[in-house]
Amino acid sequence: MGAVRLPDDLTIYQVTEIKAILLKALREYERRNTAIELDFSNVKECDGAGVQLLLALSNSAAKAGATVALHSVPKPLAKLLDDLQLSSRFLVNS
Amino acid sequence: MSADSKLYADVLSTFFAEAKDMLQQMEDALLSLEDDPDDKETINALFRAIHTIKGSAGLFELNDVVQFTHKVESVLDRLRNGALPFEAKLSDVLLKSADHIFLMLEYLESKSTDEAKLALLGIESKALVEQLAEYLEHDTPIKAKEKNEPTQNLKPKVGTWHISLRFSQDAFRNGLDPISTLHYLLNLGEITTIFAIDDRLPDLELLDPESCFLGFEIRLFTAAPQHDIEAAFEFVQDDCSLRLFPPSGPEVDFVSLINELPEEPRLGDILVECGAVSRRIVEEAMQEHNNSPQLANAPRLTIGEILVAKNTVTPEIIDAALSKQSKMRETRTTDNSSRFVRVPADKLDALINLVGEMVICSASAGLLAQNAQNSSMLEATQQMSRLVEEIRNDALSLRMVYIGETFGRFKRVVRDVASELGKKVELEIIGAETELDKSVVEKIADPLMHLVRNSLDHGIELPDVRSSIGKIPTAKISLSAHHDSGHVVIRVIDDGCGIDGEKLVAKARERGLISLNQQFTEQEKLNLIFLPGFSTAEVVTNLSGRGVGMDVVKKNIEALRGQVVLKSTVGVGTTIEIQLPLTLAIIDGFLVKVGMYTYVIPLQAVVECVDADNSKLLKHNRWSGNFDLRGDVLPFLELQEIFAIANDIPERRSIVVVKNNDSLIGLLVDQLQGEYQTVIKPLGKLFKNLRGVCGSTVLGSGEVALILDVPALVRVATENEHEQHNVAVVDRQVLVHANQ
Repeated sequence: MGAVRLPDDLTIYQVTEIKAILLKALREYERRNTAIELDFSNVKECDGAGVQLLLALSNSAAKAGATVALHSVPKPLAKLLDDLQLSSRFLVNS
Repeated sequence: MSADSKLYADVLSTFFAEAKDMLQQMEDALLSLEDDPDDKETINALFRAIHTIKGSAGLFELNDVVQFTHKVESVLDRLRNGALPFEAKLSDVLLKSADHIFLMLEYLESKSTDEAKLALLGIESKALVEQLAEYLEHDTPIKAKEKNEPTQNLKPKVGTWHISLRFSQDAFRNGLDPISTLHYLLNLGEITTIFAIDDRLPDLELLDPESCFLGFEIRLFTAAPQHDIEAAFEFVQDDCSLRLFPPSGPEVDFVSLINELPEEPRLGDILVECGAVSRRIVEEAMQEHNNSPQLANAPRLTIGEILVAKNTVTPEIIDAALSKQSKMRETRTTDNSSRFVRVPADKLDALINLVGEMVICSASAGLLAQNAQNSSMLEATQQMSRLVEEIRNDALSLRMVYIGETFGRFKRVVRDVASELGKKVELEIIGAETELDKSVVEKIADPLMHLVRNSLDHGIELPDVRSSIGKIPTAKISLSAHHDSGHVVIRVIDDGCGIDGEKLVAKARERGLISLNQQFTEQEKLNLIFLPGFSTAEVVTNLSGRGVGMDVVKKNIEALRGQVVLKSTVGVGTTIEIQLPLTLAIIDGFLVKVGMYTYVIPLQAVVECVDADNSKLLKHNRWSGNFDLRGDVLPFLELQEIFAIANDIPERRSIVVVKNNDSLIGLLVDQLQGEYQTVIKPLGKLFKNLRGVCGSTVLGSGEVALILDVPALVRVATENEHEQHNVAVVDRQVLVHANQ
């Protein structure tokens, strides 16, 4: 199973839908031990709510013993995670 | 991306609308302070208004506005602290500043690139800032404070600040983004270490993704003064708890931080790790915490109290805490504002339009049911039409606004104009809660403005003139509104010198508006003032007297299907009464038939219907006469003749008695057809000058009916025959046109 592709916006307006996507990925991992891989190639925006959501995923995944890999992370988002010194919580591939 | 820029434009336009509201509040607050300069609440409201404008303008990077509002805010801050007394001159400057901000917003909103205008705004800004500065430079110590640089912080400290930040759960929902705050901090200096605190963050499954559980421990290396760092949090301070630790502050301060956040066990470690405190201090803190459990149970001290206790208090922090508290109080008091929803006016219009169509459809369904003589269907349609009527009323009430808002604006006008003219005037507002359709309110504001200015300029005498003729020096203008038989009546009353009918006649003759030997009744003399191109002001001022006033006022009011009546007694005062319909969209009508045509008479005008006994009708001329109504002599109009409908006169006819101003008049018609909810369709451009009818409507049967404008009809009937002929001819065209 490939990476889960995220929609355009990781913002407060979409977080509820994205939470469902992420939760599904987490469940998928728990059931079949597949890696949690997220494809960010479509993501254009990410705000605090989006970051918080990723953080919650990372925490919950860590509890379950998984790491979260972020693929095709756009530059601005990678910089944001760096600025927040959060990059270490994920495997970030740009 | 275009969706983004649209969103931005939307938000921006909301900002403009809200900022203008704020300015209005500011103006109201200033005016009420002039009456009661010690009202703390109002001063606070004033401060909050300008603070909010500044804050939101900052979000949109409207730097000119921010800079200017900042000055105003500083002055208001001193006012709030009691360092400055509220006096008329200051009020003047502040009012002008509010106007100036309004102009700046207007300029920005129009996206104008008019350089000259911009330069003008800049000059005005400078002038006002200079005036404002006077209020900042009374005594130097406070001036220093004013600039939000406390004495101990005058030399900026270069060093590493520690910022402890916890966002409230509602932060996202209130439109805040912690990321923007952090970006702002990045502009101030370098964030050497940042820890995202996610202890409060629930598991993904349990997380409400729209609530904010984030917090940050930040080490910021900067030369910026405390004030600037705090500015980064200005817009979020309601939604976060913020602790700032200056570079050389004692480590002990952090103890309180650790104690205050017992739910974050890692906090101590984080603080050590980022170099804020030494391990020893943390351990001491933990010990203190463990040793005194009652401390943990004790009611939590506010951040302000802790800082005071720790003797590291700075005015800024107290200020921030206080303003936060006052804001909380504000949200509590203005709780009902959350019960309101902002809806674009065009959406409401669309809704009302649809409801209007529904009214027509339901009427047509009712008619069909009646013709089919299907009783259960008839019942259903009756039920429906009752519901539709309720929907209609509710939909219309959505558009109703208090006229008080419009009246309120005149406080400022009266104040400014009166002081400019050296007159003393008190404005009295009666019936501010009277509701009126929004579109009517909008259109009535300008005519009212003219009337009030006219009163101020021409009506009210100078104080010493008033004293010399035995009037009290302070004149009074009252604005009143009330509902009367489906209309709203607005009155502008002044106790000034009144209008001299003879003077009007002389002026009108001089201007050649009337012929030399025309004779007038007193009322007709007064009505001359409504003639186009009439001005009695001996000195043309910039307030009024350009002769565009009264005829335009009259035209505007008549365009709203309203009327204006002027009453005046020389030496005592003038009353101008404006009658307006409640709404422009739908009326309750009364259907009558003349020949084969159906007409609608506004129901609120109908007083009663009587049988027309041909023998008792006394005709003066072709279209009018009078008749006997229970002993009273009433005039009547024969619609058939007025509209020149060729028709055999039926044996039985009826007279509908309608109210026209204060008098009654009968309309002679062939047949009465009962009440009917009428959706007014405006007449096309071609018929704009048509008099006697004010619109048309489509009946359930698909037939077109004209809506009669009773006062206009009376006017037409009392004028010459030639004009009536015009009316009648055009009327036919309307029918032909509308039926096509």
